[in-house]
Amino acid sequence: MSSFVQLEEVYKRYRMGEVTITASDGVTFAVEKGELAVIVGASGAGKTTVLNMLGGMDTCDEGHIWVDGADIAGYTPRQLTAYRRYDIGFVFQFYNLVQNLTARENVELATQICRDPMDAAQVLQQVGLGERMGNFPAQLSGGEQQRVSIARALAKRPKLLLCDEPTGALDDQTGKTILKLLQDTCRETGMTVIIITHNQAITPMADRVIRLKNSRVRDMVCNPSPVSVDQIEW
Amino acid sequence: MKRPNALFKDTLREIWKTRNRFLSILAIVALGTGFFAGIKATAPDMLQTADNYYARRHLMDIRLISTIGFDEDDVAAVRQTQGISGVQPSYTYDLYLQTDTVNECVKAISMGNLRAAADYLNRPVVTQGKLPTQPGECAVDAYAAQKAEIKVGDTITLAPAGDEKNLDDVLAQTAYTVVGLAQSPMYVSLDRGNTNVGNGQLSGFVLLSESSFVMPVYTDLFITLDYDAQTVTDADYDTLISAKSDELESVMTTSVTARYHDLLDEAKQKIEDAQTTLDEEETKARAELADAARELEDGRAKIKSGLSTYTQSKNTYQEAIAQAEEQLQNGQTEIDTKENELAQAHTLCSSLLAMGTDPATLSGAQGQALIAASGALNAQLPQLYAAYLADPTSVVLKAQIEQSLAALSASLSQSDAALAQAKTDLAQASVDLETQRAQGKKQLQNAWAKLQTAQQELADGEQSYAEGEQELEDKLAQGRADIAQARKDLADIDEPSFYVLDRTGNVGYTDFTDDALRVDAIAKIFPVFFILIAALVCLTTMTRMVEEQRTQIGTLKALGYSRGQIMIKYILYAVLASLLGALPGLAIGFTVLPKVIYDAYTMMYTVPDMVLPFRWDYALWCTLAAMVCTGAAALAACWRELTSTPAALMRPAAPKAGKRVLLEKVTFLWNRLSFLQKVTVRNLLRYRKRLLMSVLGVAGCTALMVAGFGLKDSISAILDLQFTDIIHYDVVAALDADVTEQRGTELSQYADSLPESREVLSVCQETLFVSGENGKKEATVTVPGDPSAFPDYVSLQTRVGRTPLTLGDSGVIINEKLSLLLGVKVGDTLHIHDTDRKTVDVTITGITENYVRNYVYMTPALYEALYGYAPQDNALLIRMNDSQDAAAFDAMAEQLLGQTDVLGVVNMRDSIESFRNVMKSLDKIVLVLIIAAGSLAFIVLYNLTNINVTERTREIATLKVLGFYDNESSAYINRENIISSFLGMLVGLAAGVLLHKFVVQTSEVDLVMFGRTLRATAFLYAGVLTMVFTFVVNAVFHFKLKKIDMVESLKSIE
Repeated sequence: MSSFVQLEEVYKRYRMGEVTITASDGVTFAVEKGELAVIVGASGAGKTTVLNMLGGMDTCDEGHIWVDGADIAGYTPRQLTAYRRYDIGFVFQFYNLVQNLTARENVELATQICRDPMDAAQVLQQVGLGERMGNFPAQLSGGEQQRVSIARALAKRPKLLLCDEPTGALDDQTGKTILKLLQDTCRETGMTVIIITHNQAITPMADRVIRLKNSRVRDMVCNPSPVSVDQIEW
Repeated sequence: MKRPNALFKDTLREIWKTRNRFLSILAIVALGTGFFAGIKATAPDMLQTADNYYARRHLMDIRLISTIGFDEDDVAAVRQTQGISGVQPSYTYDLYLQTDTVNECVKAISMGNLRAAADYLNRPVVTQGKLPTQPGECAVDAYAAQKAEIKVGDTITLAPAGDEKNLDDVLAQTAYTVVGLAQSPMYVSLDRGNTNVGNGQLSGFVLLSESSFVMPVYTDLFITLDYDAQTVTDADYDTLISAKSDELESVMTTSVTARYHDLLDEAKQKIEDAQTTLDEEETKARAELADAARELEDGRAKIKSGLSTYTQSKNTYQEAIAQAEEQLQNGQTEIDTKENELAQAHTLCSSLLAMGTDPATLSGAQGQALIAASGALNAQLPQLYAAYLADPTSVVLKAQIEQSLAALSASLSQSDAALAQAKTDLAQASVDLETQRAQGKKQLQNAWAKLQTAQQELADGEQSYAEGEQELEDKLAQGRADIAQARKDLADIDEPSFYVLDRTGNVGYTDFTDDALRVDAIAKIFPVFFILIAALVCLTTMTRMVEEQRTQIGTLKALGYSRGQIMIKYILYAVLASLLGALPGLAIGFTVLPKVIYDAYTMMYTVPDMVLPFRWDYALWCTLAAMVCTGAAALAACWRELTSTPAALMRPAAPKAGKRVLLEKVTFLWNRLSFLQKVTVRNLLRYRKRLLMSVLGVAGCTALMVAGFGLKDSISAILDLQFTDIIHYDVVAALDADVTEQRGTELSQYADSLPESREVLSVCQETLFVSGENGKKEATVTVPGDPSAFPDYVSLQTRVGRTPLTLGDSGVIINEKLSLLLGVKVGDTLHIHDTDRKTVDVTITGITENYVRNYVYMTPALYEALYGYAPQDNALLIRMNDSQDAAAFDAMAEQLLGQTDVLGVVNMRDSIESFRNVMKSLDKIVLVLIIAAGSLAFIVLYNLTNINVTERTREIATLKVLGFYDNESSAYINRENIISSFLGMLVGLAAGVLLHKFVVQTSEVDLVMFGRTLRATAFLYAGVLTMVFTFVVNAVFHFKLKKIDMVESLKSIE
């Protein structure tokens, strides 16, 4: 319970007709506060299930999920919503910006519902979009959109920043800048960041690498000296 | 054929996957087609039900009525007409049906049930018991029987309702046993029609066997024509009826008119004969009188001559008597004289004798006197004496003296005898005279008596002559008067009128047809609107579906499927949804809607259960239209996608770019909006097409509801407007058209004198054709006897502003509906047509508010100026003291109808009542409309929201991941819904005004103008209902939104 984020023997099973698929088969890992963790695994390894449960978007069937001392595994849907609302910042693979809102408004969409949000303009400034906050998503490049997405997540001052394949839809170079942003954010603000990806190549930048395979944690490695994103090539 | 098969499977799976969407298209199509087909089928179903009933019950096609009835010859003449399939001669008579508790005016009708099948028409439906076959049996109108609590087995009495004292000339008996209760195809309307006896209102009918009637001629001929009721079209039927009516009219003209002329000639001959007889009798009587007069004259002459003879006789007699009396008197006198003389002579003679011949004595004075006197006896004596005295001794002388004295004495004796004889004779004569007198007197008396008798006889004769003469004069005068009366009566007998009535002359038939047409009028516009909205929603839905399937379309295209093959899936999807939707829609539409509406109407009719044929034509057209609409929508939606390259399709569609909206420029407003409100506004304006669809869809439904509620208001408004604000009289009494002015005044005063009436206005009403710019319509030309009193009876005023209009001599005032029908306005010219008179042109000086029937009002002065003679008042408008008092009306009506020349009395309350009933049934139709419009609104909202939600699932899922609570994310979507619904509602309320106006105008019949104003409640109800539906849909979607999986947000964009 000492860790900031801790999963203990978490099981998640789906019934697909007559077959029961175990998507999480006793997953156990921990992430410390202020770490940048990468959960990596191939397709179908159970990353998304872990993400869903950690993000409060799904519940587990067994086990405990501790986040900052609270076990969200026992949360009601409403508590889960509150958890998502106040504790989690989510960065989507496809940015999921509301097309009809400007960059700033997209950030505001999140800050509207928070208790102590950051100033939207300031966050956008922080992610390097100070000049473009009046633009609609369609007027922004993919990388810029992802920055908006990150800004939206950060603006809530979450306890945990969850990123689902944040570079999945971006070209390499842009992907790197996004990862850099995430790394910098982690370093500068002490934010706990968990990146979920299938891309093994980015693991060197993480403080902690959790490898999933067949719905289980294959290994969890702490990286005492993570490299800067700039030095990673893939 | 594997690929189409795979596609078909794909389509089926697609349907399963998107069953909500499929069902919503299906539901809209079901609702659209069901409503369209149902409403459209209602009027034909109603008419067909009625037609089947009429055909089954052999309802007459043509009814002939003549003022002089029909005899067997007429019947035979009709039978000989081509194309006649049945003729039922019949007796009908309006009378009172009485039981211990009931006295109702009914129509007695003879039954044709004992005639040949083809001639047994207007066959009643026996609801209980049987039909009368024997004299003394009757079947009573089931509806009337129920009201009057008459049961089978009861005995009823029929009594005269008109002027006659008894029914001896009509019926063989007056007591009847009720053997059955029946409905008649002649009386489908509960309004049994009017009569000119009793209170003017028929309560029902009573069926009697023909043998119960003793009338000399038939009153009615019911006729059926030869045609196939199943296949004949309305137009053909009308043509047939009009042709046959004309033919029968000419047949009757020949037959009945001939009979009329026979009757007339017979009557004339009778009169002539009577005249001749009278003349002959007069001549004879006059001759007799003349004879009598002559005899009397003779008698009078005879009496006159008798009288004169009598007078003559009397005179003669009196003269004779007088003469005889005189003679007798003379004789007596003579006798007396002679007797006296004789007595003197005797005395003298005696003295002389006594003196003797002594000269001494002779010479004495006495002697001397005697000697002087003796000369009277014998002249010689004195000489002798003298001589003797002178010679006293002469014996001769002495002897001579003595001798003379002796002779004298003898002669005296002789004279005495003669005198005695004379006396006797005289006495005899006197006796004789007496006898004669008596006789004469008696004779005279007899003659007098005779005369008296004769005179009496004459007087009697004269008396009886005078009497006879008087009698003759009286008799002649009477005879002449009778003949004059007969001639006058004969002259007064109008040419026999006969009426060739077809079914439209039947109140029930016409009302029912009108009601069916009214439904049809509503069916003209509502369902079309309905289908349009459904098509709009289908298009939106299909467009959305194709957009969603972009990638798949691209894939299929990349795999080498042709456009047609790809398209077929979506078209199939749409067409299947339409087909599957149309089936339950039609099934329900064809059964439920006509039934509900029909049931609403049957409250006022006795008609059999409805026939609900499946109308293949409507079904086919509806389904086809729905399929074409949705298919075309699918095609249109596919087209754009299919023209793109597969590569373009495989890429996710560029999301529709966000845009700043105009409202943002209005900073002071924009800044006031909360962030989420801003988002909503922007979202709404981003999807303009969908907003438009939502607004239009909702607006359409709201407009339908406004029109529905408004229609109800408009119809019910008639009641209050027409019968409270416009018409103030309670009763109309129709007078005979030929009534004289004086009689009219009398009747008016009579009506005024009745205790129930407050005031009376006599008017002249003529139903004439009038024409203007756009047409020719029938209207009632009303000429109030006293235009200044008219506003008390009818308010003439403009509808807008209610400005009173005054009837002037310069032109006419017409009602608004008529002005609309004719396309005329104030200042235009109105042509009034009349078959008997010239067409006149008048200026329209005013257009008045009026809702029922069409009127042209003018002053008597204008009428006279137009036609050259004064209007003849033929109706009385009566205001009652208490218009609500039904008993008072009945009493007054009976009094009025008891007057000759009063043809009918109509209570406006009855009109109001029948209107109320019409409205009740229209209420149900309106309810159906509103329910349908409501369900449409619901489905439209559901569908559009569904599109909105499916399109934005990702956004919603993202919001959830961001930590929006369920109600917050619902509100995010619903706010848009509410606003678009609200906008739609506002547009709908505005469009409702137009739709209402249009519906009101299309569904109006010529005779009626519905209220034009929409009440605020119509807007309120429609608006509130729309919003209620919106909230219900929102509530439904709240749960659907809750179910959206946040995982959706992680998926890649399709």
